[in-house]
Amino acid sequence: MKRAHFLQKVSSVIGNRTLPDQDDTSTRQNALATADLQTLMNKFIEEANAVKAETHLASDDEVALETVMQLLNNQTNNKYMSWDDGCLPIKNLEQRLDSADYLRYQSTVPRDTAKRTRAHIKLAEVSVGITGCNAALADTGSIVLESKPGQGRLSSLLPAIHIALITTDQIYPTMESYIKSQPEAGYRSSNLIVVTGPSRTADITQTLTLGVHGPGTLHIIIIDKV
Amino acid sequence: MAATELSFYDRISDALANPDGQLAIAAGARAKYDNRARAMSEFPNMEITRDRARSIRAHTLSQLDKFLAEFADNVEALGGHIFWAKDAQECNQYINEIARAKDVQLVAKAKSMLTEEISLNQSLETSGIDVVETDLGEFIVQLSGDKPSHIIAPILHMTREDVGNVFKEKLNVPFSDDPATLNAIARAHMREIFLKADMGISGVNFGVSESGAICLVTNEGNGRLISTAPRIHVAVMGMERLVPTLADLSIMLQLLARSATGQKLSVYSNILCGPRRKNEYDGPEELHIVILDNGRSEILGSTLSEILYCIRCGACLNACPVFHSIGGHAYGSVYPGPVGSVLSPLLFGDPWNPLPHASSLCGACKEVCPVDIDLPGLLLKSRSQQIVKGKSPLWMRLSQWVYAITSCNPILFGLALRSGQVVSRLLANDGWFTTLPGPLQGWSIHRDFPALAQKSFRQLWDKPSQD
Ligand code: SF4
Repeated sequence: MKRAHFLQKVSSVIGNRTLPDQDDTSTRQNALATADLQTLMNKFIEEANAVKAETHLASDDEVALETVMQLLNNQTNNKYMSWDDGCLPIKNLEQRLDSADYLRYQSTVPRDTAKRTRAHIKLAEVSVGITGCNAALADTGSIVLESKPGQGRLSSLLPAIHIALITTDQIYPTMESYIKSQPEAGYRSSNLIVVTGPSRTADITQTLTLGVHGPGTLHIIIIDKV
Repeated sequence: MAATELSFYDRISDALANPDGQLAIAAGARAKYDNRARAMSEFPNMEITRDRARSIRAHTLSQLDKFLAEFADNVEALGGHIFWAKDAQECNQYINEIARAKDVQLVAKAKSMLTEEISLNQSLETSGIDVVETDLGEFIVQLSGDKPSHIIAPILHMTREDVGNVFKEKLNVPFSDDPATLNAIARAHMREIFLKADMGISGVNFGVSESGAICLVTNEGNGRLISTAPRIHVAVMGMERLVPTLADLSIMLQLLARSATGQKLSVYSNILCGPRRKNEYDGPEELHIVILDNGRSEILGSTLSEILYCIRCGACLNACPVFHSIGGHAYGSVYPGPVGSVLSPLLFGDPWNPLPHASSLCGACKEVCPVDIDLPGLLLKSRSQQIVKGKSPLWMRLSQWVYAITSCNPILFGLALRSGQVVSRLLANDGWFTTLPGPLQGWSIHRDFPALAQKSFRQLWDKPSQD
């Protein structure tokens, strides 16, 4: 159908209906909006744990690196994929993991159809994905990731374990406050994803099961940057 | 959607004759109902937020033409394709054409009631394309050749043994009724499909006019995979699914999650803005968004347009005592429960006319609806429109006609009353009928019917007794 016809039909049924105006005064007030950093962080940890994400505190970059190493150490395979070094909040992750014999898989997916599928199949061998994040939301325990050059979507999606590195200054009170301060986040990249806990289902008799298609384990390492 | 062969009443009888299914449905729906109640009570300023959400929906629909145009312009500016589909046929044909032109063999699908509404899977399968449902519940429905029974929880009607048997039979795995084991089997099976699929198809939870973004909400992550791995992503959007701004979206996402499952947010709120961009590492090369009318513009112009506020959270199903008893299948529609009883006759026509009558109008649905849709009011309107159009059942029209004549004529009314009293005296037992004849039997199987009083109110009024 032609766009004009489609819209014409919609216009004709709406007619001159008076439009109910939006009442901006009714926007939700949230006690967190004025909370200090410590309160925000505590709330974030509480909510993230409530949705079964595992949180780790790191007083500086070095502690964060060690935490990553420990988490990788528990793995049987040594393959990982990650955002590019420049997109992570700590320096030299790749180099450090390299010297400890971890193998980073290249996560750029070719545009060519056949090569694309081959790349996917190879990436499916990886068991851990490491990313940074663009924001964290205290109210819901969520992390917000943008896909950008250097920040692929698959690192937080394909592997069974997702490790996210966040810094304390990235924590916003609520989704509303994040959007208010970063309105362009909604369109400056092809994908903005708000992740609240590991992948789950309750489809089978309402029994909670983690790790359906996305990562079943989500580690959030919170690095003190203040 | 084609009408099923059985009548609504036969489907209800079938549902009531399956106590296992009934128990599973009632327990599942109640658990969801409780989760919602808890999550809502913890929500700061819940009532204000609900009013706000309602006003966002009303505002959007009152200028839908403007918002649709803005949305489409933005999608195209981002390099996405828009197709305007009048009905199911145009939509399915368009998707088939892309599939053919791009040599698509395998399609991975995320859960979408809209694509059920237009039978997209069947249409693609007829063209020889493999379509795999990737939501765990929908996957099980597809494997067993069944139909979803709830818009959020497709296999609400199944026990874990049922699921174990389906997997054993269709996937050739040892029987297990442990949800974690069954989940692991499904994850392994589905991996390959995500990685190899040429096309991902999804619905759209919300489109955002100001940016041309679409939002897909899932807990499992399948919505992310099908919109990232396959080279083509096709999203089918009901034309009413827009919100004007990202800020509006954030309100809707929170209400949707709390109402549907009691979560503060679903695990993945996935906001997609056009196809993969230059220098991005992954994502689809092509994005097609089909904007579908399929009867919605008629609804928008009708007195029942409020039903288009619906954000498909499923809360009204979970609250409905009728749904608890008969489950989703008995409605014979992809949209069951209170929302389905209003929508189905509008979208699918006369065979679904009995649905709005299956309600006691208790109001539980309105109470839980996150956008405060007056569902009982709409059910009543829908009933009365059927009567005005002469579409109510013959027995009902006849009895209403007889009642109208009798009640307008004092002599006839008195006569009818008198004969009722005589029948009561002869057949009732201690003031109660324990069995009723013919079609009235349905009432008396489970309960007695009170006999008419031997003195009517008017008789008492005329001759007040001494005491
Ligand atoms: S009618 Fe209201 S409660 Fe029912 S599914 Fe739609 S939004 Fe949810």
